[in-house]
Amino acid sequence: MFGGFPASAQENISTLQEVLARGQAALAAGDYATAFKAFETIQTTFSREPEVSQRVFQITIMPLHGYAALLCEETNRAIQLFEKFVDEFPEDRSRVSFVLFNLARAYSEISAVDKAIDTYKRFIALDPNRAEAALATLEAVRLMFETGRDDEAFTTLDNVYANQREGVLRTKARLMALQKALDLSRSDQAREYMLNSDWSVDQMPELAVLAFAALEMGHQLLASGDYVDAVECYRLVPPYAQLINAQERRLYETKTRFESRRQNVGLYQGGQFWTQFYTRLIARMEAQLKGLREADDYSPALYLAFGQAYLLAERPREAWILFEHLARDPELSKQQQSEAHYRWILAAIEVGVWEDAYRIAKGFGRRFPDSPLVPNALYLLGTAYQEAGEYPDAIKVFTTFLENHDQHDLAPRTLFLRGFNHNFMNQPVEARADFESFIARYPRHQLSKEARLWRALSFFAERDYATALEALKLLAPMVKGGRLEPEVAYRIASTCYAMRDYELALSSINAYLNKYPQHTRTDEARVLLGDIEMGRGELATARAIFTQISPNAGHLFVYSAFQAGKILRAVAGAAENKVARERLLSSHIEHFQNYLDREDLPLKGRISEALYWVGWTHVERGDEDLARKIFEQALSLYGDDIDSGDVPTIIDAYVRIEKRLLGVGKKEREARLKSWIEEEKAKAQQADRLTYLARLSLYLQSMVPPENPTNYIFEIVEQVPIERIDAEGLGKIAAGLVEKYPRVAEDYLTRLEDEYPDSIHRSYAYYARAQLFSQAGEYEEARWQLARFRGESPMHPLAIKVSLDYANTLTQTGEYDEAQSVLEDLLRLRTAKGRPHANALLALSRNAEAAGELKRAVPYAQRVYNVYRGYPEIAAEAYWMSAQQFERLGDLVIAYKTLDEMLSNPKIAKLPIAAMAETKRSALFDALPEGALDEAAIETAANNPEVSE
Amino acid sequence: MLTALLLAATQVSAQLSPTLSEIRATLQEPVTIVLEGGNQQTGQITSWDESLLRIEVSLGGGTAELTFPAEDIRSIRFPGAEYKRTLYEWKNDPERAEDALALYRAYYQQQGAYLSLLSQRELSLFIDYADFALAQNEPLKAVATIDIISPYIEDEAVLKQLKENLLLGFFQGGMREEAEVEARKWIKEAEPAGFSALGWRLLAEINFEQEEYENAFWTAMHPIAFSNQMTMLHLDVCYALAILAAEELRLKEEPLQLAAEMRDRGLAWPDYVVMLNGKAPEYLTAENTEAETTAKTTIIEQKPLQSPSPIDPIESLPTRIYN
Repeated sequence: MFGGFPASAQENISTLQEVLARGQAALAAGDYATAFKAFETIQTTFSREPEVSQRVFQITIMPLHGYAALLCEETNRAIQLFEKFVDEFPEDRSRVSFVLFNLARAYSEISAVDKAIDTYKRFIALDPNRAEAALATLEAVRLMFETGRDDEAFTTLDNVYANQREGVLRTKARLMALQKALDLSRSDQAREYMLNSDWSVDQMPELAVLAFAALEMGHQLLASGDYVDAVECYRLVPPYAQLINAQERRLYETKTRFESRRQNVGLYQGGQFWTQFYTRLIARMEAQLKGLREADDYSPALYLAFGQAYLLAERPREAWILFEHLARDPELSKQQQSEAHYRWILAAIEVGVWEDAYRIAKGFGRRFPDSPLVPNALYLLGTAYQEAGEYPDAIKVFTTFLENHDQHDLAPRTLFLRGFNHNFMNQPVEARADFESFIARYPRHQLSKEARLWRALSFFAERDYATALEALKLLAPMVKGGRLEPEVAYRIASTCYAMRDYELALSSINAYLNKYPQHTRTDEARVLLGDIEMGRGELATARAIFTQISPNAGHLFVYSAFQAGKILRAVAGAAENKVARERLLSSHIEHFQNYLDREDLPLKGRISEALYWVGWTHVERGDEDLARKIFEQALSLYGDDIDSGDVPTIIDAYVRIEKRLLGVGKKEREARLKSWIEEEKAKAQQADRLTYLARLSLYLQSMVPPENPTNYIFEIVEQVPIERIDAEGLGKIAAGLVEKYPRVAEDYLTRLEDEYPDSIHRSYAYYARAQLFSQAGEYEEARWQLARFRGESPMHPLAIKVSLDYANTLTQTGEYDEAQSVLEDLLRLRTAKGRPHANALLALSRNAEAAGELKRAVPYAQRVYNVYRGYPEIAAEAYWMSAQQFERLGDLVIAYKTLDEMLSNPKIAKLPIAAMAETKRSALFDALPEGALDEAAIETAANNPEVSE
Repeated sequence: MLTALLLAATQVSAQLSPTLSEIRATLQEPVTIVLEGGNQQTGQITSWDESLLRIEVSLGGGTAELTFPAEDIRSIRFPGAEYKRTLYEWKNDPERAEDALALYRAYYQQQGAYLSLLSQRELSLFIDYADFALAQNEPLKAVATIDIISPYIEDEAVLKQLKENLLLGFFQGGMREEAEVEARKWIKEAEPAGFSALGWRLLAEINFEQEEYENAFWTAMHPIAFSNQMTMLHLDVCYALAILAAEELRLKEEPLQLAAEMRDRGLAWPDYVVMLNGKAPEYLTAENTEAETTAKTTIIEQKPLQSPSPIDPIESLPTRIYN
């Protein structure tokens, strides 16, 4: 360490050398007090020695003397020595950085902060690129923060982050900035640091600090509605066990790195800088690890919050995964599981899988019956069903709520919403019951006026206009000045109109329009005014009103256009002379032609109807060819347009015109229509108008009863590529093929589901998909599809078949009572007379049999073969079913006689089932004891009591 | 002149490097048994049944057979250890990969029957073999090796890694059923935010291959949902599968959201996975991929419902995490 010294007096040299050696040894051993004392002695006792006063001696000893002084807390002396060194040896390069760094430390220890900062800066300036410069910068920054020089400190840290390469120091600078920004409540700045830094989490030593800062910030962001950023924050937080492992590993790595560095780097090469840095770092890490080990496991709380952030950031699937995982974790407390389970329901609702959400909600009730959140879960689920238009399910859930929690705070709202959903279902009686119950139980509730309004409207739905009007008039003063005032005013006007009290309706609607010109029903009110004027016979006034309705009024504009047309026809019909009539008919054509030609309408419906009226007008004017041409033109324009849904109705309208033009009977008209369609098909095929071709084939299909097989669908499958078939066509083909050719049907079904998920024809998809599920034995899934069908399309041509299938899925899944209820509803439908009734009775028999009630099953089947002989295949099935039922009941004689009667029917005897019946009859005959059939007292099948419809 | 010198150097080098057959010959030389007392015996092993080892030693002008119980044997030294350096060189030379595999195999043939006598350090040779076989697209070799050495490995971390490689081996070897079973077992034991998403990745790949897109989606999403900024192996593959499955399910916002997140997290499209090669969607690299939120999301197809169990209600509830 030291160079040689000139010889002096023997005694003095040896003494000086001894003291010097003692000082060296003490310094190396870390005995700074002894070292300091030795160096002091040298500077005092031996100060006159020529060696001591030599420059080379001083330049060597002074830094060490100062260092020893600093480390044995003789800070002022250390400062004195370091300052002297800097003054006397400004040109020195090898020791000055060491001196400056320790001088800065010394200043810092006597709280001469500004001097300390300046000295660190001088140190850094010597060589800004060395790693120790970053250490010094961090020290300087620490002091800046202590003295309130915050902006300067942040800027400095940002520079370190920007200029340092990836590593411990860079991350430390950023972490320090983050911690300080949090301490100083500089939220935006802290957020910027947190979310826009490259944290190198796989290497950073103080991961726990970042993790907890991120956790805290995540909670704040969640609370303030910044859900996306909250997710980012939670992503910076490893779970508890992972964090402990990582910290342990980092601590080990840091200690190892420190040890290797300490041995390799000399004192003047920055060794003691790193010593200080790592010593402090390791101490912090050990404290953090200790704290972590003593802390509770925060992971469940983290994931609950994380899931919540996902949910609110519109990422419900991620939320589902987290919440389900927590809800199923038996290691968590019941409280935590229940909280997770509740949120799992919310996630399922947001994902939109209603049936799953319902089951999860029910599961919540079963697992945590005492949880205060059970009613909330049901309420949420009910409202979710309602939002999705699943009104029957919403009612079911609300009913469950009211049965179990009718004292809950949400009970009033639930009761109200159930009534509301009954409204959506067109069930005015049930709706009114709920609203009346609400009014009686909660007269002061904020929804009580709404409830009164809806109660009044329930009478309107039943066409009991007088009672509706009375209720509305009673309500009007109660809602004065409130939100419902204009609504009630409008409803009064419309009720008067419905009662045909046009004068009262007129004054009411004019009062409404004058008083509430900005109300949401203004367009409706103007249309109503037009209708009222029509009712009063003021046709010109009415027409003027209708022609002023804006195209932006949607379906109201369309309605108004057709009302105006109606007026023109009425006036033309009442015209005094031919000229006037002709003029009016021209106006009529022009009116509807303008409508058809408009391209600026957001909604243009009833196209075929408009065409019909144009055609009708031509017929009235005697222009038959023109009448037909209108439809030719329309079919030319729309026939092959895959997005147009009007083609079947255009053909229907054409048929009606032809009916007027031709003076022939129905059979002849149908034959001519079929012939015309076949011609159109040929032309379409030649012209590659294959969408039109498919539509024409499907129209022919619709002219044939469903039970009569045709080849039309197979023609389409062969001739028309699937991508040329519109939504309705896809649906009809899928529905038509699914029972016998499911694999082919699935292609059409999948295309309908994928390409037209929002089509009005998606009910066909529900039907076809349900058939596929049933064929696979997945009756729960099938039922779900059929339930959607029934909810969305109660008037669909397949509705009755769907009800039968729906009942079957209920039977298959053991819901016998519900199946029976559905089938009995079907029996009450007049539109289901004939074959559907017969099938419903058969299904009732099967259902009772499945429920283990054979004796109840028997009369249903008997009714079918006694009453519905006109359907031999259904009657045959009924006979067969009945015979088997009797056999299982042990009554072999009646079983035999049933089959005997069955086979005596010549129409049934030709069916394939007859062979099975024949075999069974023979077997029964062999099994019967001798003479059993001859007994006079035997009841025949025909004498058994029948169920009444 | 220079060319000649270089050629000469190559020839000399070639002469110095042993051939496989030379190494094999060395590996068949006698072994040395080191007993607990420190004594050693060198000879050819004649039999070993996990409890008794018999070796034939040279004695005088003839031979003798010595028998040692397993508990008396401290260690066993096999000839040819010096060629491990050669193995290392061949491993790192793409041109010699086949030879490296052959040499590993030779060592395995030499020592495979005596694994219970090897130290953990000595067993690491075969762990390396399995890793290398997997990397060289020889998954069945890897599976076989891992299966055999696993019972002898004591280090939990090493065992964990072996299980991962076993799973990968099943999958890459086309043993889908085994891979699926093992993946499900792996998932049951895995930490959802752990260092690896392998089980979910492979199960999702299997689901995707079978066109079970909904299962693939939810399975791939599991580690994504739980992941944090710590490295998670195979997360990139999970993102890619989730994106493609979401597209198949016609979800409108999710593919864009996941792609943006994948990009922001610095994960590249895993073209190294055969099934995903070249299938990165365009929007993954395009900026400004914020999805419009006005459109309604298509409702995804539902998993078949399970019937409720009266014993444990939670088991019967609809799941997206146990596919």
